[in-house]
Amino acid sequence: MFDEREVIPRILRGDLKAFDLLVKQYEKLVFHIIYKLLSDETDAEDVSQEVFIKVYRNLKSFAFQSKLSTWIARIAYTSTINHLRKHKKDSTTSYPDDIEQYHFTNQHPENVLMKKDTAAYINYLVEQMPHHYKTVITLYHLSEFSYLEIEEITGIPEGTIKSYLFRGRKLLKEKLADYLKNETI
Amino acid sequence: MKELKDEEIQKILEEQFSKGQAGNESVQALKAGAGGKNDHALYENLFNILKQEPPAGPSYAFSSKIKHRLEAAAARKSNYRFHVALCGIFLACAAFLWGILFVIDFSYGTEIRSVFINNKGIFIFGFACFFIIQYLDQRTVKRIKPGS
Repeated sequence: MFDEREVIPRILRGDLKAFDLLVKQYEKLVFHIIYKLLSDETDAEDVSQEVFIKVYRNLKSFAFQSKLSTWIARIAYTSTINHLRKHKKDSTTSYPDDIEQYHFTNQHPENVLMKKDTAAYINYLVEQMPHHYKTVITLYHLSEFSYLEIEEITGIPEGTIKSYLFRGRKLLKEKLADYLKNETI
Repeated sequence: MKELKDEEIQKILEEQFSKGQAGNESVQALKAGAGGKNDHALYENLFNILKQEPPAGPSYAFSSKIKHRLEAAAARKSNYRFHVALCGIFLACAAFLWGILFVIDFSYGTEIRSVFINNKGIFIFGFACFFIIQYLDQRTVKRIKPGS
């Protein structure tokens, strides 16, 4: 069982084995947040490594005022956003304000090897969503953070998080309904 | 039966999933209700899909790579400190010997001082080279990520 109150002081004393435990505990959390935003395994691995280096160097500033997972997720989120800005892989201005007006690419799901895989189709749609929608959906559903924790991680107000989640899920539900309808025909 | 709105369904499912009470709607059941008639089942399926871990994950040696990077960074830092300390010791020894020379033989000390002053450019250049080489070495090693 990972006990952060026992492990952190050991890391601060320079115990790299203790840090190894921390990495193993949170590597999936960090990697999944980054991977969902970048959609590239190699980039996700590189940014994840940078995140843990930052965690190691800044651990002395962690004051147990929040959960360690939330603190690490915040570093992962900001590092990913910085990576996206640096490599200009994402532009928030290219998305419409209203998600209902958002159009996914015209590629039919059959063309992307997901003919019978509903999960792959949904993940494909999520991948195309604006990054703040992807972020809240990933943090809420996959990483199982609460609204307040997501607010702490992303800096997005709770009301906006709820709105993004609701609108994102509604859009995905509608797409899923169409997808299943087409599949039955 | 009253049809639930999207917002209500999402709220109910959020509570169910947070308590771990969610069921698993089969795709067949969803297909039967597809077209907006079975929103609850569609949402439940969606919630189940969204909580699934992606197939991609960190590499097997992920934590070892980070450990190696931290060890390499620590070694670089220590190496740099060692060289700076060495430089400091050299300067201190030179100053000490010069002081001794002044005590033993004032004229010889003055002669050495004049050599230093006349060739100050060479000495300043030598020290500048030392620190530039250290700096470039740090930058080059940083660029090469160990274990990646």
